[in-house]
Parts: sequence; structure tokens; C-alpha cells
Amino acid sequence: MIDLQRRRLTLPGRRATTLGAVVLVLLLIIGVGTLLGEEGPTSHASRVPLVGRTTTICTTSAPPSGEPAGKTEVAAVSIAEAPDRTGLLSGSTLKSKPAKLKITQPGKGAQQSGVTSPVVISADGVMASTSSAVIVGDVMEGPEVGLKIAPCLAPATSHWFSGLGATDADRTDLILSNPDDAQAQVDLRFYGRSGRIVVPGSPGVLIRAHESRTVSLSSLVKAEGTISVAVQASQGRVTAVAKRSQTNQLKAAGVDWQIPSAAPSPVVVIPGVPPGGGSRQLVVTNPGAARANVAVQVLGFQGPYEPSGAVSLDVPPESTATVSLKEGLVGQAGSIKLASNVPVTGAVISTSQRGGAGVDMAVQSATVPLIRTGVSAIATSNIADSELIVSNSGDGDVQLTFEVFSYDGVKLRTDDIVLGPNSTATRRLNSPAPSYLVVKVPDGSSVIGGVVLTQPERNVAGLATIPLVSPDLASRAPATRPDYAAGR
Amino acid sequence: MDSDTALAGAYDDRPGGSGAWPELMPADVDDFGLEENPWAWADFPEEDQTRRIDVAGAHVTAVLVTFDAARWLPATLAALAKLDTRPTRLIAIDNASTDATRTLLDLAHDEGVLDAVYDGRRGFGFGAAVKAALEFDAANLQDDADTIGFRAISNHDSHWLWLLHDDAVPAPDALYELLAHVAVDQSIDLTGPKLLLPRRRHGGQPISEVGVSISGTGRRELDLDVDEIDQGQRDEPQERLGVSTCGMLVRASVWKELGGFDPTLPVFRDGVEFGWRAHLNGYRVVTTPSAQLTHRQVGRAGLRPRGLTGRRPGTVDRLLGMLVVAGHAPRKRLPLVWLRLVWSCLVRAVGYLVGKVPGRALDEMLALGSFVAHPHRLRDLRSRTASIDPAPRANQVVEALRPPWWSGLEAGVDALTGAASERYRSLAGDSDVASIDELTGDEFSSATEERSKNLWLSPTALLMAVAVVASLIAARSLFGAGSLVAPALLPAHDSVISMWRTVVSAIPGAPAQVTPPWETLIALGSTAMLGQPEWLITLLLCGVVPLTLLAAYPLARRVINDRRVRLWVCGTYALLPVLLGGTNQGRLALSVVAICLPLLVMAARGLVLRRTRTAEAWRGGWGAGVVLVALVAFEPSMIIFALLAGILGAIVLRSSPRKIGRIGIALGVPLVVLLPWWPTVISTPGRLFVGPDSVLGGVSPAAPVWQLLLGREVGPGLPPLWVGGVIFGIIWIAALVGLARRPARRAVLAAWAAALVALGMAVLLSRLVVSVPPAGTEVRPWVGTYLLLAFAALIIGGGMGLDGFSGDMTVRSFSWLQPATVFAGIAVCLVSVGGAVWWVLAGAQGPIERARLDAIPPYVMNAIKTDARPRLLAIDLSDGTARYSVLADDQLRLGDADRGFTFGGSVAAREQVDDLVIRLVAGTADSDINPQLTSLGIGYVWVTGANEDIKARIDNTPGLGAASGNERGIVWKLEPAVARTVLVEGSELLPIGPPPTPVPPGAQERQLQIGESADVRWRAQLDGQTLVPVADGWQQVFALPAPGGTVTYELPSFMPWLLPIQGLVLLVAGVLAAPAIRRPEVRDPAKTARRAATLSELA
Repeated sequence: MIDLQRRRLTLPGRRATTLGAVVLVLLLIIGVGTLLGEEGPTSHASRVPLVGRTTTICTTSAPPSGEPAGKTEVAAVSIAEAPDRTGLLSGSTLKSKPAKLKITQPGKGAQQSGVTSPVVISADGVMASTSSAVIVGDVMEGPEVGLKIAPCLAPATSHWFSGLGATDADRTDLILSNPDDAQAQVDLRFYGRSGRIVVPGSPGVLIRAHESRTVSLSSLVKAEGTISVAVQASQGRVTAVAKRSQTNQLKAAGVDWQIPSAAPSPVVVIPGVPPGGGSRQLVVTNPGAARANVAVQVLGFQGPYEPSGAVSLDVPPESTATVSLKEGLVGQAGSIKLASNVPVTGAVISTSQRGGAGVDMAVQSATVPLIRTGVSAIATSNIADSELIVSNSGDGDVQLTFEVFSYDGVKLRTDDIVLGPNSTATRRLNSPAPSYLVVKVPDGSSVIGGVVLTQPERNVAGLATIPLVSPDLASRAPATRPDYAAGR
Repeated sequence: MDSDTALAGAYDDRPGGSGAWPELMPADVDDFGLEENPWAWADFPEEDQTRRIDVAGAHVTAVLVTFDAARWLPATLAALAKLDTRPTRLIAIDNASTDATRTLLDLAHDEGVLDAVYDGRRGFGFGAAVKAALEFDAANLQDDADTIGFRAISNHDSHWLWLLHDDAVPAPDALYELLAHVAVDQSIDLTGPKLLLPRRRHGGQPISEVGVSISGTGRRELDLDVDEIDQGQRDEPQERLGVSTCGMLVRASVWKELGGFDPTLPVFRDGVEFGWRAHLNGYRVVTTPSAQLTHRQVGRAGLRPRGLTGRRPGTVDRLLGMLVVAGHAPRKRLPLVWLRLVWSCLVRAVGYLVGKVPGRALDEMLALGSFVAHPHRLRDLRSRTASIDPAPRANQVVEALRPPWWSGLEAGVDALTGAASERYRSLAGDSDVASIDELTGDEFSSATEERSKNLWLSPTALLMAVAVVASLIAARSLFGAGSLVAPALLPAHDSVISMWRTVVSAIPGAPAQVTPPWETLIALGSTAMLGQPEWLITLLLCGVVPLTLLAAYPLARRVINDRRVRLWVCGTYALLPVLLGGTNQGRLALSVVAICLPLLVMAARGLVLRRTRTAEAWRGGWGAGVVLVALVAFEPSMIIFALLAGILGAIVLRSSPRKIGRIGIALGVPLVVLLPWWPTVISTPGRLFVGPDSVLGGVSPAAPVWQLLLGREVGPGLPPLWVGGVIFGIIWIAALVGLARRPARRAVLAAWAAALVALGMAVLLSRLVVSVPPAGTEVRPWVGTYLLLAFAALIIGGGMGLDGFSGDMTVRSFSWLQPATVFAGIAVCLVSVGGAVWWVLAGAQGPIERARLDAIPPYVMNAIKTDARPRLLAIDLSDGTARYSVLADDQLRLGDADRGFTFGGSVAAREQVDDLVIRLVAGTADSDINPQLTSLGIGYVWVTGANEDIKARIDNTPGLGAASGNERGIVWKLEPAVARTVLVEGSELLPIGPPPTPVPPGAQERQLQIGESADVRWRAQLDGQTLVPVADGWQQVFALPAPGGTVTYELPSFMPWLLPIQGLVLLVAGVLAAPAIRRPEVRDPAKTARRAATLSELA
């Protein structure tokens, strides 16, 4: 001001000078503000949570008395996701008696054979979110001849089984295991062809702490055709696995472990339907009170298509419906996508077929999409041939990577697969030594898959499917953030 | 008096007459050519002079008490000499004067004015002196049998005692009038004249006293207005509780029966106390206004420093007033009366302090101290009053003659309403009539306001009324039960006690940090709002527009002359808090800044403009300091602005050191008052740039720079872009036009400079992410406050620049410019009105809301409040993300964010909760979830918005009990039940209640986990034995020996010690900032009395 007065600026001159200065400063503020950019938080939203000790149970049961013991073994692996972190994977019995199974280094695998009772796999530290295990039963003769494989499962309060048999020719033993210190109590609900089946004694089934209990459906339920069972724990939590065994004219016609299907949802996908001959029965369970109109889609190699003869399915309320996919699949591998107006779940019951060989069965249950990583503790084995089946149930292209590692942690194979929308791809897996498989999928994708094991040279055409599972369950959590309005 | 006495001469003879009256009289009224005497109205009626009552039968003994009265005694003696009715006997007693008093008395005696002069003692009070004089005179008369004296006639009904002060000048007919009155009404036993103050030059003669009473708090009740001029309006005799001892005429028998004045009351209040006793004994006390005395009141003026009144007559008067009230209180009511007197002293002291009259406050406190410290005086007085057997209905009479119990309140309310009325008149524009404050102050308004015929219909008042009504309409959805909640606002505490408890408690896990001061101010405000924090929050958020308007208008009045521009400036500024989303987002800081900013500017203006040597010169500095305390508490970065402005101001005002001193005060007050908080701010500088509970905002995306220029910060509740764009665009245009019109005016340039600095700060801070205490949480500063500053400066700058523009237009020759100006003005106003309409229609409707806080089932909330004090993890999955909070004790409340919520300063606990939420909703079902939740003291998990899949995942978690809940959410209770504080012995956890709590003996050394963040300040004891802290995770753990006993633990806080000190400093600053009492008779009654007492001397 003083300067302005000293210079004796005229009013227009002062006006121009002042306004010019103001505009200049404003432009400077805008410019600096724009150039500065926006600082972000230093903390990472995608911080990996420190998962504590996880427990999975590899369920098996003692062989029928008088029958020769089969070869049952547990295989566990830990993928090398975070090499700088430590952890321990160990096995024990339900009674907490230590087993031989132990992994101390990520990336390695271990096996325990001669298993005759459920094995509890405990994973601490890094192993809690990187490990996976399967139980393999390979019986060459007797009433349970065949190949049966199932991933070891975490205890839960709710389990859904679609397509169980409850007849003399199609037997199901439901094995409920309680690894916790407190007893568990479960209710069983049965869904038959024509609706709910009321079964006395099915509610309030007690499973004592650290014990396992087998419920034979054929002695409990009398129903025609396949049924579905919902296991709901009203107290505690259990793992539930169904041991399936079929006979044909008193001759063994296949065995398998059937694991629970994904919880009912309007869209569910059943991965890893094996290629080849044999029957492919799609079982759909509608637990709701409304009739379900289910559209069936096969995720094939060339994309999705509607299977001939099984385009849609009408499932009455609280019922189970079955339809054959054999004609529609025409011997090809694939995954089945069910889209319904109400929540449903399902499974595919497959049988093997090879001239001169006995029949084996395999059940593919509906699963949830993989989260970042999918693992199969067995990729290749010296007892069977392997084939990876992966499907993309999403509407966009997905590029995934799969890797095969030996149990010593040596990478045996790596490959990329590009999957179109609603399509499937397969890769044969060959390796001289036991190995495991790691599939890495993009975040937010809808990839599901499994490894199909076949026994081409046995008297029984062994068939089993191991679904890919995601050990890092924490990654499926939605984004978290503190919000102090929560709970108002 | 002769009936032919001339008018002027008659007046000259009136008491206190200065002789000035004749000078005012026309030399000869005939010179004016008037037929009648124009001064006839001032003539005294003389009819009564013609009908004199015979008072010769009355025998009067007059007693004159003197002490160091040489200055005033001659006038008194001269007046006594001129009495037209002389007392039977006129004696004097001198209480050992050291001046010429005794000589004057002896001269008067020699001249026959006095019948006798006696020697009293210096310690004599008035009553004691009278008593001694009478005794001396009685003895003297015994020796002189020929003299008719008091002794011989003392028991006769027609014998009277007349008491005189040495500073009182009786009118010639004073005694006659008194005697005539008691002769006419023979029921009168005690009477007193109308006491007048000395006449002012060119003025009337104020009434000093016509009878007196006393209130319940000891206040003198004169029933007179201040400086009430005697115009004959008080000339009706009235029954009063008492009369002054000056000129008191008392029946001799009554005097004797009552034993004279009470010796406890040697100087003041003796007359009213005597009258009180007279009433109780069934005597009548009636005033005689026709008798007049001019009373200089030199005792009250402090002109007799050697006397019993000392140098603080106010203290003595207050003390004696309390003694009178307490001395006459019924025995049963004495404690209440005593408490009331003490309370009234304290209240008055505070009032005088606030009014910056420390001398009066000291008087009150000294009187109170003496009253409390010397109960024997009261005991003595009560022992004498206790012996009175009240006459029938005497108590009712006394009660009727005393003011009602609410008279003190009435006086207070009168004072306050007077001040408020004056304030309103000032605000409403009634400024043509300058107030006394304005005339005596040195800060004149620059505005010459048009005077409205009806102040309630002035545009300002109407604007205020509209703002209030609009606020009520805009906040229509926010009334009702529950708590106001918003993205930046946590619900207020249920009670102010809970709020204060939070304020004084330490923050666990943050040893170097204290509760931020804004919480203290909220607690303080809530206390003032009858202990309802919710009311204060509602007022601040929903009433921000009228409050801002109220704060801004006085400033606008001082800086802008044109009322239309002023209204636009105030209205637009008042809308800024809502246009910037403050109300809808629950930004308390914005409300506080919007309200305080004009006050700060006004204080700063006073700081600069007030002359340095005026009585209120320092008010501006203290006022700015006090306002800065509030501003900095809510928006700490204001201290940066203040320091910058202070430094610049000091440079500009370097030639005036006193003004620099005021700036120092303004900056020093917040620095001192907030001293305990500065370490927190310095250790976490990010706190300097954020407001209350800033953690709630998190790291939100930054707004683009161009949007900031249009007043748009990121966040919900903002007006539509076009609304904001138009309004803020108009503000820019107005500011630019104002600058173009007044490019050299310093105020306009200063406003622009402030706006650009604030805008620069807003842009800069909006790009940053800062860490805030106590856990170093990262947040992006919300820059709405800086935008408010910037636009406020633009508005005021524009207003000042455009001020007078319409006046300029009227003097220019007519062209397109005039209509264009009119249209532009209308358009600008319409835009602001449009903003107001948006606010009214859609304003406070979200996201702010009034929530009932009932999402969590009551049984869970009750469980949280039990001795186990488990926490609750609340997860909201309704929008696809997992939003969570940990509730403890009583939900999350205002200020909890700045205290780190339930985990205080522990970052580890916070991260673990985040981990646990991920694992719960992901369904990892790992077996560590339960132990970790237990370790965090979380006993319940509440989830809302979860689908069946996620419910099942959470359900799978081991250690969670069966789910239950309602439509709002699902609750899982951990098994076994969780307590926050536990005794850990091996793998067993034993719940422990709140301290002190008994613990059983154990087999081995155990650990006490208290469930709160680890902090070196924690102290724990077992039966007085200090426990050793153990480092173990996030929480504080102590090693507990095996023996049982009683465990206590606490987190010491020094806030209970600091708060009173801070409050005291703030109080002192507030007192110094408050407007001073300007009425001289209240500020310094002794000085006023002194001026009155010496008036005629000067004349």
C-alpha cells in the first residue's frame, strides 16, 4: 500500500495492480494444489491378517470287519506363500494323540499311510492359511473296492449333502466328527424326491467331544431315489463327510467320500465333472419353501451350453430332484452351473465305465469359487492318472497359472491357462513322484476346479475328484475398515 | 420563616442551597414584558406556613455527634443556629477529633448555639456517643438544678430525642416539621426527615434517603431511583422499617426502653436495626419528608479514615447489613439465612469481578470473611434481639416493611434485562440514541443507523426471527428422542457427569497425551445447559445460522454503513456453515469457528482501535485471548493464523508498545490455558490441522482444487453443485468487485489476504494425510473450516468494498449504471435467499440424524455394563464391506475418537481387532479367534447385514456360542463368558470386578490382566503392596503373588488438578474481557459519595 501511494498510482492503476496480484495468487494456489497431488495412507488396506491355528479333519472309518484293509493315506501340503514366516502343520487323532504327519517348512508336503481313523490336521502360523490335505482310500477288493478321495475339512455348523443314497444298493454312512472340547449336537433334515422326510431321532444327534459318530442313512431313512441331507449344529461344530458305496446285484459298484456342497445359493457351480463314459446324475436340492426353477448350464471347452435333456429342472419345495447329464455332456469334462430363482445346491454323481472293469463312483459337490489360490494336495499319484479341470463361471476372461510341486518343494511344472467366460479347460498332469497342485487366480474371479483321478489299469475303473480348495480363507473377507457408526 | 420571604431568598435557605439559584433568576421579570411571573411554577406554596402547629409543648434534646468534622461542621452549626424551632437542649459530643472540630464546638457553645459540649472517645460508635452524651448531660444537669434537661423529662411522652450528624445540615424548619408531624399523629414513636444530598451546580438536589429497609441479603432498600431528584414526589409520610440516625427523632421513652442503638452496629445500619426493634416492640416508625436535612454522608464517602468506617466503608456497611439480617433471623431459619448471606456475598463478588470492580468484590469478600470469622458479634446481637417479646402482629408488620425474598433476584434480573435490552437495541439498529456505554466508550460505531419506529420490526430483528424459524424448519427431522449422530459426530454423553468423568480421566496407552480441551469446553457448555450435553450439541448444529448471524451482525455494524450490504454480508456469512456441510456432517468445529470468528475480529478490532489508557483498554486483548481459547480448542490450527496475524500486527503497531502488549495477551491466553495440551499437539503435529474426533473421517479422497474454490469439501450433506457453485461464485464476484472499487483500503486488502491464506491452507491440507493421537491414526484433514475462513473474509471484504456503492450511484448522473446496479443487487440477494431456501427445504436431513442407539439388544447392553465390563465387537456388512467398531461401557460417545476409543493409545489392540474381523467374516474358523477376542475383553460379537453364507462362516468359529438376535442383527456370545479384567492362573481365567476387589489366594504367582492398554502410569496394589507390572501384549498386566487380598488398580490423571487452574486462568481472562460496570455509583460508591459530599465545597 505504502509503495502504491508513494508511486502515486491512479485508481485504475491500483485497481489493475491489486486485481492482477489477487488473480496471480489464486492461480498459484490452484497450480500448486494440482501439482501436489493427493497423499494416500501409508497403511495398506490389503494387509494379510495373522490367522491363528486352523483345524481340519481328514475323515475315514475303519474298514468293514472281515474285509481286507485298503490303502488309506493322508497327504498334506503347505504352499510357499510367505517364506519369511514360520509355522507348523501336524497331525493327530481326534483324541489329540500325535500322528506322524508333520510339516515345518512351507512348500513341502507329507504323507501318512495306514490311516484307519480320522486325522486332525492342525496348522499354526503361516501354515494356517497355506496348507491343505486330502485323504485317499484306494481299495482293490472287497465290498468297498474303488478309489475314494476327499479333502480334509474344517468343522462347521452347517453342511449340505445332495444326492445321498439311503437304500441297500446305495448306502451312505454320514460321519460326524467333533474336534472341539465341548460336545456338539446336530439336527439332520432330509429332503426327498417329494419333499421333507420326517425321520424320528434325526434332531438332536449328540457327538461327544473329540469323537466321531457314524449315522447310517439306509437304516435311518426309507426313501426312494436320492435324498439330500442338511446337517445343522445347534451346539458346537462338526465336520461331516458321507461315505458312499453302491452295489449292483450285491456286487460292489463304486465307493467315494462325498463332501458337503456349497450352501444353497441362487447360483452354484459344480466343478470337475470327469470326462468319459458312465453315468452323470445331477442332483439338485431345493431347501426353500418355494418351487425352484433351475437352469442348467454346462461350462464346456468352447463356452457354456445347455445340456441336452437337462436344460432346466423344476424342483418342488424342500425336495431333491435328479436328472441325467450323460447325454448332454457327451463324455466331456466340464463344470455344471445352476442358476435358480431360489437358493439351491447340488452335486453330480459320476460313475466310471471301462470295458471289463468294475465300476467306481465319484461325487462332485458344488463349491465356492477360489480365492486367489486353489490347492489340491494331490496332483499326481502313483496310483492313478490325473487331469486338472478348471472352469470360469464368471462373465469375463480369466488368466490363471497353475504349478505342480513335488512334496519336497520342487516345482515340476508351471503353465498358464486363459479361460473364456463360462468355459472349462483341462490339463493332463504327469509326474513320477507324488506332487501337489497350486492354481493362482485373479482376485474377484469366479474360477472353480478339481483334479480328476482315474485308474485305467485296475480291475475296477477307479474314479475320484478332488476339488481345488483355497487355504487362505481370510482373503475372501470383504474389505474392512473401522466405522464408529456400527452398532448404533 | 417569614411569609414574605422572597423566592430566591427562600431557596437560598433550603438545605444545601449553594446560593446559585438567584443567579439563574431573571433580574426583573418585568423586563420580559410578561404579565405573570414565569417562574411562578417554581414558587413554594406557603399556605402551610400560615398554619403553624404549636410544638412548644414538646421537649427535645438534640445530640450532635462529631468526629474530625472541621470541614463540614461550620455549615451544620450555622444551620442549627438558624433553626426556627430550637430544641429544648442542644448538646454535642466530640469523639476525640484531631482537627479543629472541638474548637468549633466550643465556639458554638460560647455563641449559645450549643448548650453543652462533651468529650467522647475515639472508639465510640454513633450510638455509644449518643448514650455517653446523654449520660454526661444528665450528670451535668444534676449539678445545675435550674436547667430543664433531659433527665427530668425523660419518661414523659412529649419528650423527644433528636440525633444529628456532624455532616448534616438541617433546614431551618426541620425540627419544627418533625415535631409538627408527631404532634399531629401522636401514634408516631420514631420518625426521620427526608435526607438530601448536596445540590449539584445547575442541577437538582438528589434524595439521599427517606426511610430505609433491609433485604434478606443485607442490601439497603431505599426505594429510590439512582440520583432521583427531589421534586416533592416522596413527600408523603410513610411507615418504614427504619430511618437514618441522621435527623432521627425518637420518643425519649422508646429510646430508653430499647436501650438505644445496638453497640454491634457502631456506624451503619444502626437506624434500620433500631427501627426493626421498635416495630417488634409495637412502636410506629414513620417518615417525615417535609422535614429536610442535607446529609453529606462523609462516612460512606470514606472521608473519615480514622473513624470506625475506616478506608473501606463498603466492607463495613456490607458486614453490618449481614449482621442485622442474621441478628433478627428466627432461630430455626438462622442456618438458611446464614447460608443465603454467604452465597449472596460470593455471587456479588463474582458479579463485581466480572464487571471488573475488584474493589467491590474485595469489600464483599472482606465482609464475608469478617462475618464468618467473628461469630461473637452475631451472637451478641442475637442475644439482645432474643430478649424481645414481639408485640402482636409486629412480625407481620416487619415482614410487610421488608422487601420480598426475591428482591435480590429482581434486582439482578433488572440489571440483566437492562443490559440485554440495550444490546438488542444496539443490534436492532437503535443507535441514533447513543447509549451511555457508547458515549463513555471509545469505540464508536462507524454506522449511523436509521432509527426504526418499532425495534421489533427492524430488518435486523426480522432477519434474526426468520433465521430462527428457518433453523427450526430445517432441523424438523432432528427433533425428538435420541442422540444426534453424523459422520463427524458421535452421540453426546447421556449426562454431563459422564462427560466430566471422561474429561478428567487419563487416556490409557498414551502417557504423553491428555484429553483435548474441546471436550472440556463442551462439558463446560453442557453444564451451563442444565447438564444436558445433547442440548448443547443440538444448539450448536441446528442453531448455528441464527447464532452466527447474532455474532456477525455487531461486527458488520461497525465496519459496514449500508444496511442492505450489511444484511447481505451477515445473512450470507450465517449460511456458510450449512452450505459447507457443517450441520449435515456434524462438524462442531465449524459451528464454533463460525460463531467465534466475528467475536475474534471484533475483539481484535477493539485491541487495535481502543485508546491505550482507557479503563477498558485491555479488554480487546483479553477478549481475543478468550475467543482464541475456544477457537484453538476446536480448530488448533487457528493458533497459526493468530500467531501470523499477531506478528504482523506487532510490526504494524510497533510504535505503540501497549498495543503490542495486548497482542501478547491475546496470544498468551490460549497458550497458557491450553498449556497441558500442547505436548500432545507437539508430539503429534498432525493434530494441529484437524478438529474434534477427526479419526471418524479417516483418509477420505481429497476434493479437486476447483471444487474447493466453490466451497465443496468431500463429504455428504453438501448442496448440489450448481447451488454451491452459484452462491460461492457470487461471493467471489462480489469480493472482486469490492476489491476493484476499494483497491487501496487496508481492511479490504487485509480481508483478501486472509482469504487467500486460508484458501492456500485449505488446498495444501486437503492434499495431506496426517497422523493424529492417541494411536497415530491417519486422517485427511477436513478443510471446511479453512473454506469458511476464506469465504468469510471474501464476504466481509466484498461488503466493505461495496459499502457506499449505492450512495455513489445516487450522486451520479443517471445512466445504465443505476438500473444495472439495482438488478445486480437484487440478483445477489436472490442468490443468497436461494441458498437459504435450499437449506430450509433440504438442509439438515442427512446424513445427520437423531438415532436412538438401540441396535444392540438391551440384554447385551446391560451385560456390557455389568462388573465384568465385556466389550462388544459390532460388524456391519450391509454395504459389502466389513465396517466395525468396538463398543464398551456406554456405546461410543462424543470425544471417544480423540481418546482412542476403548483401546486408548494401543495400536496393537486396534490391529488385532482388524485381524479378527477379517478372520471372522472370512470364516477362517481358527481356534485363536476366541482367545484373542477374550484377551481384548470382547465378550460379544454383533453382526448386521450379513448374508447366510457369512453368518455360517462366523458361526463356524470355535468358541462362539449359539447365535441369537433380531431383525437388526445377530449376536454371538463368547464361551466361556468374557470379563475385561481377569486373574490368570495357568490356563484359567478368573473374572475380577472393578477395583477394589477381593482376590482369592492361589497356588502360585499369577497375573492380573486389567483389560486396558498398557501404560507406565498404571498403579496396582494388593492389600497396599505395590504390584510389579509385566510386559505382555497390548494390555496392562501385573504380577500377582499367591496370597489373596484386595486388589486395587488405577490410572492416575493430573487433569483434576490442572482443570481448576486452567479454569481459573480462563475465568480471570473472561472477567477481564467482559464489559466493565460503568455506573459510577456501582463501581465506586465511596467515590460517588465523596463527590456528592464535597459538591457544595467546590461550589
